[in-house]
This record gives sequence, C-alpha cells and structure tokens, in this order.
Amino acid sequence: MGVKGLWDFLAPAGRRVGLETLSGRWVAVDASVWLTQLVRAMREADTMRLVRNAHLLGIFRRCCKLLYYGVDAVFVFDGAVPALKRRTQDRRRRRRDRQAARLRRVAERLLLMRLHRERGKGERREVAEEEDAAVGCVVEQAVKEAGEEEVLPGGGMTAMEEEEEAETPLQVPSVDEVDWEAVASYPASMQKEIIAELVRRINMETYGAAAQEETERDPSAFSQLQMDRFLRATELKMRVRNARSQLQERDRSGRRIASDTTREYVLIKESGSGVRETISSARETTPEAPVATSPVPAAPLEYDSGTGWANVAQPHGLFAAAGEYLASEGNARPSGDSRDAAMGVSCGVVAPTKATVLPEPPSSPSASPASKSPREVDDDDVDEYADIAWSDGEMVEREFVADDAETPSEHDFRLAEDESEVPALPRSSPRESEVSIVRESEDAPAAEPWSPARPTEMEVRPQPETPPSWSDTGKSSETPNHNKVVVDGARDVSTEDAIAGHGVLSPTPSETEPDTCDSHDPTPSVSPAAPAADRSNHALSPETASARAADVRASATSAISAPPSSPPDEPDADLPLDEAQLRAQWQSLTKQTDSISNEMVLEVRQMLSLLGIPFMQAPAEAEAQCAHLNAVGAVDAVVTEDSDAFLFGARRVYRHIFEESKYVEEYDMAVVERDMGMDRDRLICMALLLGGDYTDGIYGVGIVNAAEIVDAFCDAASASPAERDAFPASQGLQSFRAWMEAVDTEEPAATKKRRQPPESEDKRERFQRVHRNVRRMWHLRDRSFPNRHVIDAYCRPNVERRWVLPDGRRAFAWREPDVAGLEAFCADKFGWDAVRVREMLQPVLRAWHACRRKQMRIDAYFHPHRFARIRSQRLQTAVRGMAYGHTARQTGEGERRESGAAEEVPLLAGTEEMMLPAVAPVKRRRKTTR
Amino acid sequence: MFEARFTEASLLKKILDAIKDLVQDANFECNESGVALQAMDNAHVSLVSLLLRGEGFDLYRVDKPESLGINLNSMSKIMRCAGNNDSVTMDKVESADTVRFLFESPSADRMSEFHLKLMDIDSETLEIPEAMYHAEVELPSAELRRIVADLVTMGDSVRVSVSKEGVRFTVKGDEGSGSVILRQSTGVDKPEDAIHVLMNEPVEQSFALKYLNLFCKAAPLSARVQIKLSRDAPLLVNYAMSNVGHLAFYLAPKIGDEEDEQ
Repeated sequence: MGVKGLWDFLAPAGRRVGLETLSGRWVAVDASVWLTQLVRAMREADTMRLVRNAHLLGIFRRCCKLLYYGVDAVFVFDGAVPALKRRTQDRRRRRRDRQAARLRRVAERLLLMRLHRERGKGERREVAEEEDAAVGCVVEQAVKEAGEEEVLPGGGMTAMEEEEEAETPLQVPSVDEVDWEAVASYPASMQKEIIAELVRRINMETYGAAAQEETERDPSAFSQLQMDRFLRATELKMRVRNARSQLQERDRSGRRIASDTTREYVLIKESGSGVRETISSARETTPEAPVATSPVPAAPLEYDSGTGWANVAQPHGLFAAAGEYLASEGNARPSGDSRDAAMGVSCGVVAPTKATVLPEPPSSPSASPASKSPREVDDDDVDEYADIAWSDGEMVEREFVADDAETPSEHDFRLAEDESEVPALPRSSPRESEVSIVRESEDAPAAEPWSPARPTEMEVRPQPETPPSWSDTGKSSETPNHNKVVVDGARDVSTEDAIAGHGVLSPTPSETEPDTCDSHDPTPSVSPAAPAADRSNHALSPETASARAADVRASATSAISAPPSSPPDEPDADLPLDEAQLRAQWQSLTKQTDSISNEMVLEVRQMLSLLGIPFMQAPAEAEAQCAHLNAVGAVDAVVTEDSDAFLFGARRVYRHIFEESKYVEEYDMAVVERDMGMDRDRLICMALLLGGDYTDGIYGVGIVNAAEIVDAFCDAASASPAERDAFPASQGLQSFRAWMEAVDTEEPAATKKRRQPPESEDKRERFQRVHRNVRRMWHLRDRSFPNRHVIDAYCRPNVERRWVLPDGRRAFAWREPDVAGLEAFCADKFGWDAVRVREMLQPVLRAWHACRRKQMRIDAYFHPHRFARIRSQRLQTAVRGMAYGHTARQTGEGERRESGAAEEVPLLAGTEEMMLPAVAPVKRRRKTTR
Repeated sequence: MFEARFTEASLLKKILDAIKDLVQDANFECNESGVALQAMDNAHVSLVSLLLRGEGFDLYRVDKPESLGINLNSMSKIMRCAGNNDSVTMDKVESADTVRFLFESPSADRMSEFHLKLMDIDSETLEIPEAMYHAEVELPSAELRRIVADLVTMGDSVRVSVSKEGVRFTVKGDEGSGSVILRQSTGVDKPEDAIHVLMNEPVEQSFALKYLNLFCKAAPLSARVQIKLSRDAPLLVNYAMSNVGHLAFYLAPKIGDEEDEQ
C-alpha cells in the first residue's frame, strides 16, 4: 500500500495532535481501507469466525466517534483497480513465487544430500527418528540460509493455499461457475493467479475494494510460515519413506498407510475385495496391533498420524508445479459430475473411471495428487498452464474423462516416467482398473525406489486396484487404509470440501473409509477409500474399526456442510505444540482471506446515509479521490493510511486516526515542502525510486538513497525551461538512469583522481562521486524507468471532478443522524434494541448539536512540535539540501541542524513562521516532583 | 547556573497574578536571551506566552539553558512574602532541584530566602505562526477590563466585531443583550487613553468571556493593551511591558455563532 517507506520518510514532518483538534474539520475518509481493516480484525478470538456484520459495526463505531468529535467526514469508496496497479501486483507476486521456488530447491538439494548419506549408511530404521530430526535441522538451516539470501522469500504462496480453506471471499455471483475443487487443486501459484484474476474481475464489476489485499500481506510473516511448513513437510515425507521401505522389506504385499504409536495400518492389494472386507480384516488384526507394530516401525511412523499427515499435504501444495501436466493427465473424472473433472486435475493423478472395475464407480473419487518438483516448471509455465487449464477447464475435463476411462493406466505410467526424469514424485497413483493395476505394478517399482536420483522424496504410492481415496489424516485416531496416502491435511481440506460440495464424495458407505474423523473435529476429514482390497497387517483399533462406517458418512456430511471458515483442526496428541502453531497460522491466514463484497459496501452506504454522513464513489482509487477533494479545497484533510495520497495531491493527511493512542498523526504538505523540501513532484520521484502501487522502484534504493537521488538529480531549479515544461523531476530521473547505467564506462584511474572532492562540485557531481560504487548494487526493476505512465497515474489520477463545487466549500451536506432509522438498522444488523442504540447515540447527538456552536481549542491553530526526527545523517543532509538549497550545504553538517534548527532560520529569508528547535518530543502532561 | 535579578518584586507579582488562574504549572525556559514561558490552560482553549528579555533584568546570567518547571501557585505564595519594592533574585545552580528566591529590601536591611522545588513538566511547546491579523485594536488596558467585566455579567460569550465604525463588543445572555462600541480616538488630551483601530478586513468573532476576564488581570502590567483578530486565528491580547518584554494571551474563538445570529 502506498509508496514503500514513504511514511517513515515523512514522519519527521508529521505532528501528533489530539483527535479533538480535527473537530470542525472537513475530512475525506478513505473508507475502503477501513473496510479491509475491519473485516480482517474483527473476528471472534476462538473460532475465528467473522463477527456478524463486522464491517458495519466497526464503521458505525468509528462514525460515532467522528461525529462525537465534530469531525465532518466524507466517505470515499474505492472504485476499480487501475491497470498499472494490477500489473505491479502481478509482477510482484510472480517474483515472490519465483523466490519461493528457488528457496525450496535449495532446501531440497540439501535434504537430498542428507538422504544420500543416509542411504549410504544402510537402512537402519532405528535411526530413522534421529535422522528425521537431523534432516529437519539441515533443511531448516538450508531454508534459513536461503531465506536470508532472498530478498523476498516467497510469501503469499502458502497464503493462497490457505485461502482455499476459507472460501468465503470469492463467492461472488460472477464466480459461481468456477470449480473450486479445480482451483484448489492447482499448484499454489496458479491458484493465486486464478484468484487474483477473479478478484480483479469482481472488482471491475463492483467496487474493487479487495484490491489492496494482496499488497497488504506481510511477506516476511508468510515466508516464515511457508518455511515452517516446508520443514515439517519434508520431515514428514522422510518418515513416510522410511516407514515404507521398512514395510516393504517386511511384507511385500502390504503397504503401510498410516500409524501412530499404538497402531499401524497397512494396505494390501487384493483385487476384488471391498472395503468392508478390509475393515473386517482390520478388526481381526487389531489384537495384534501392538505386536505387529514392532518398535522400529512404530517409532518413525508415530509422527505420521495426525498433523503429520496434514503436513504431507503441504508438500503437495508447495511443490506447486507438481500437478501441472500431471493434472492434465490425471483428470480422472469419476462419475457424472463432469465439473469435477477439474478437480481431477488438482489431484494430479486420478484414475477412477466408471468403466473400471469399481462397483460403484461414480462415487469413488481417486485422488492422487502427484507432485512434481518445481524445478522443471518455471513460473511462466505454470501461469500459462493455469490459464489454459482454467479456460479450457471443462473441455479438458471431458476429454480426460474419456481418456482416463479407457486408459487410466497409461496416464499414470507417463506420469511415473515424467517423474522419474524429473525428480518429482507423484504422491499417489491409485489405480482402479485392473488393467491399470497391472501397469501400475510396473510403474510402482520404478517410481518407488527412493533412489538418490529422486531428490524430492515424495512418494509414489501406487496401489493397484485400490480406488483413489482422499484420506485426510487429521486425526490420530484411525487411519483408513487407502492406497495412497496422498492427502494433505490442511491444504487439502479445502479441496476436500470442494469435492464434497460437489457431491463427488458422496461416497457410498461401503466404499468410503473415513480417515480420521474426530467427532468433535470441525474440520471435515474425509478419506473415502474406494473399494480397496486392503488387508491390514496391523491393528485397527476395534472401536475405530467398528465406528468407521458411521464415521465415513458423518465425515462426508460434515465435509459438505462444514462452513468454510471452520478451523481445520488437526489435533495431534503427540504434538500439541504443533497444533497450536498451526492454529495460529491458520488464524492469521484466515484474516487475510476475506475481502469486501459489493453487498458490504452497500450496507455501509445505507448506514452512512442514516448517520447523515455524505459519501461518494471514486472512479478508481479512493485515496486519489480524497486527495483531489483536498487539493481543490472541498475538504480540509484526508484520512487515510495510504501514503499515495500525497502523490495524488493531498495537502493535509491524517493517519492512524483510530489507533488506541489518543493522538492522530498529522502531515501537512506545506510543512513537508518547507522542512523536507519535498513537493508533490519530488514525492512522485521518490515513489518511482522506492516503488509503490504503480511501480516496482529500483532494487537497492531505500528512503535515504532515494532522497539523495532526488536531491541531486531532481532539482527543478536546475532544469532548463524546456524541461520544466514537462515534468522536471522526471528529467532528473532520466539523467539519473543514464548515469546509473553508465557504470562501467568510467575509468578507474579517472575516478581515483577524483576521489579528492573538487572544490566546486555541484550536488549532482558530489552524489555521483559518493555513490560511484554503490550504484552497482542498484538495478532497475522496471525497464521503462522513469515510466511516464506511472507519473501520469500519479499526476492525473482518475477522479471524479464534478462533485466539487466551484467554490469548493459546501460540496457535501451533513445531516443530523436519523435516530429512528438507525434504531431499525441496528436492530436488524446487530440485534441491538432501541434502548441500546439510543444510549449509544445520545452523546453523539449531543456533540453533534454542540458542534454547531462550539469553543475551539487553541491547538487547533497552533501546533506542537514534531514527534519524529530525521535519524540518518545522510538523509538529513539530503533533505536539508532540498529544503534550503545550496546554502545549507555550505553551512555545514547535520549536527548543526540537530543542535538547533533555529540557527538556520535566517536562511529562510523572511520566514513566515518561526522554526523552533525540533527538540520537544510529544509529551503527555506528566508532573513529578524532582 | 542561572541567576536573574529584578529591581522590583511587584512586576513578578503582577505577572503571576495575571497567569496563575489560567495555568497551574509551567516551564520557565531560561536561555541567553531571556526567560520565556508558554502554557495552555487545562482546556487548551487559551495560551499564555510570556517573554522577559534578559536586558530587562538588573542582572541576568545563564550559563546553560535551563527549564524551570514551577507550580505557579507555589511561586505566587513565595512572591507574596516579598515587599513590592524589594528586589528579587532567582537563582539555581546546575543539577539543583530547587530554585532560590532571594528578597532584599531597598535599604538592604532585610533579606529573605525561599527555595521552591522544581517539577518535571512535560508540556508541548506550540509553534505560534506570525500571522497577519485582519484587525488590530489598541486601547487602554483599563478600558478593556471594564468592558469585559461589564459584559461577563450578561452572558458567557462576547462577539467582537471590527468594522470601519470601530470595534464592537456584543453580548447575548438569557436576560438580555448588550453591546459596547469603541471608536477610533486620538486622545488629544490624554495620549494614553487613545483608541487605535486598524482594520484590513472586517472581522467578527465570538469568544468566551470567562477567559477574557482572566486575561484582563494582566492590566496592571501595562497601561495599554493590543487586541488582534483574524478570521481564522485565535484572538491575541497582548500586554507589552516596556523594556522588559510582553505577556500575550491567545484565545481560540467559539465558532458556529454566525449562523445562529444571522
């Protein structure tokens, strides 16, 4: 949001004033930011469910406060997102994704090395656990290191994954046709793309309120999150691998699916046998369980249960690229729901076909997400693919349905091949058809060996004849036998939901095996195992076994009915900490997923009119509209959190108006111009250098450098008259660019000679001398820098002008709040009774009347001193250079200014205002006796 | 080390009397050029700005700028112990947490010494723009005090309007209303009674009489008082103390009255 670092830069020109000083002011409020904030912030602590009508409640409270303080506000709502901004967002996201991919690769490689070494030592399972831990550490380190190298260790991606979980934000009519399952199953970067696209479309249609959402995310938080998940995921995969190899040794025909400390589930292929059989066999084996799970296997597998599995999911998501082609191949569309085909894509390899052996073909979805290492696929490909997949979704599906029905195995086979080439692993590739089974068995061996050649130790778990199963192993309780363990917990929950919603899962009880369904678990964990011939070698706890059928159904239904926002709980007895962590993650992520719907905006408008507060709809960005109103004098100030407002021409900006502290930050453009030497043009230059909503800026340039550059190059006074005609500042940037790109042309000897500062160098020369070396570290992100369009976007934003009356004033009318109307409204929206509403409104009304004749406060006219100072010496010098021109440079260095700006007052010939020493920080009244 | 001596305690007494009802605690900022005090009343409606130039003192010495946080009521109590003609010396050594008041009678036969504890007062210093005022009125301070004292009995706010005809003070109260007009007069006989009205633009503003009444307590400091008004700025009531400095009061207007009355 806004220009990077601009607030910090401007802080020294800011003042902290009490909210009451705004009393009587006309302000334009950038309401969209509020809406976004409120929707994110106002959640119930435990369930994370949005407080009912949070946006209204928040706005209502804030309006009451504004009215109480006699601030006359005009609300401005966002319109469409400008193309430039959208473009920048896209670019940024892509970059982030790429970084994330690189990061993962590093981690993978490290892990691989480790695994190799491990191999060498022999397959000792006893060590498995320690190894896991060790590997975890290594990976962690690797990831961390990598993370440090990257400027933007991929944020966002995980976020997008999570976004699916709470589907709420995107459920807009226009998007109704979208297959959410399909989206969910795309690799993360694709998902992001798709969602972005949808959001954009929605915004274009309506109010574009959600536009800022993406930019607002905190990349570092997300990257952290992602790293964590990746770590856990890799660790888990390791364990699974170990367990598998172990198992294979012991029992050639069985495959362990899941286990925990006391049980383990093994899947054994037996064609023709149904789930029920499996269950029974499970029961039989139950007693053995403890025995069967020999200490060795039990240990590593222990973690696999519960969250462990959930984590497995992550890799699926993380190895985002994975599904791309796989998806196309893997589109097994079970049953008649052609729509769901898309979902198949997500799964990567899904091979259930009606035509196949399955008794109840339609209802047995097979999910086998195959993931491929991202290595092969670069983002562009992903994007392309996404587009294609998206647009052609249905068509493709149908094709695949047909194809798959006939030759599911082939697809799989291909997949396997692909994977072996690419060290990527399909998670699971269940085959239902007998034919495919055969093939699979072939494939399986090929795919399965955990040869060092497969850096990504994702597993292929082909289970012949076993129908695909979505197994959400959230719980430690019972794990069903599914052929493949492909399911991911957290991430897949969304997919599962989606599937469930489409009725794909409407599994026939006999077929489905619910994975772990805790009765109390709000998250639907469904693992319908298709008719699989399972024989569990080891125990299924009796209770669970018996309860299973019921659970399946329950879980299926719960999956369907579960509200999207319900927390995907993955309680794991073994890892309580983990759960807490996950939960925290989830909470923070959910907050980001909601966006502003058109309806919300309409409700807010209705409320505003009841409150007698005028509002308007900006054609594009609300802050630009606010700034325009301010610039033409229709309002006294702008209330926004977006520093862009200055660039759009705002004269006075209030920030942090509703923070808990009783102060509001006030930024007066006149002060900025006087003290910082920054006029609007120069601020735009700063934006071009720093990067903002419209442009990426220059890599390596922060506020200090930017200020110096602007000081050195964008001196309007030095511009020739011709230059001044256009946009003088941009000419300066042009020459800055020319200089920057001429790095190598300068001869070292020549530069050396010039090391001694010549007597008479001007600002620009000096800057060039000082930064001769530094500039190598800068590089343009935007080839077209300085981009005219960006400058234009700032200089001539798309704003509504006809709202402004010729004389500016009284363009808006404030009315007395409509008490009766508000009573009805509040009763409707918040469930408040009339008494409560009146109680709330009483002080507001009183203040409203009082405001019509009120005593002003002296600090509405006289302002306290600044609360922030320029800390960086270089920045000070640059700023001073701009504020005072050349004279300042001659007078000396920074300390001078610091010790007493008053001394410099003479420089401001005939100052209109005494410049008092910027010493007094803002203080509260504190009285103590010394 | 800070040291300052006044020849007469009465000046300091009058200053304290004038401001102690408006402001309880304030910092006396002492630097080479003199002593300055700036403080707002509790409601932040008015602002007191006092300047005592170093030249105005008998003796004035500041080694390092000091800020003396003083409770004005306490200081006023101490000042009451001084005779009007006594000389007053204020001093404070660095790192001391008290300020000493030394009173000497003119004949130097009586000396008294008081110590006052200093306080840490965090208050914000406001920047006061040198605004161009739309209208300036200069009149005898006693005249202003009388007008305010008369009007305060009628209502709680006074409307001050400056026009070509002069300056008009209007009050509206529950019982009735009233107004006083002062016309430009050169005061041929008594120059000190002259009334000067300088008007760039007509101005009309309302102010709380309560505060004006408090300001007028400074009348003993100066025979003349200056009133400056501007449409978008607080009222300035300035008492100039010849050779010593000035005591200025700023008062934020009441707004919204215009609509009611027009």
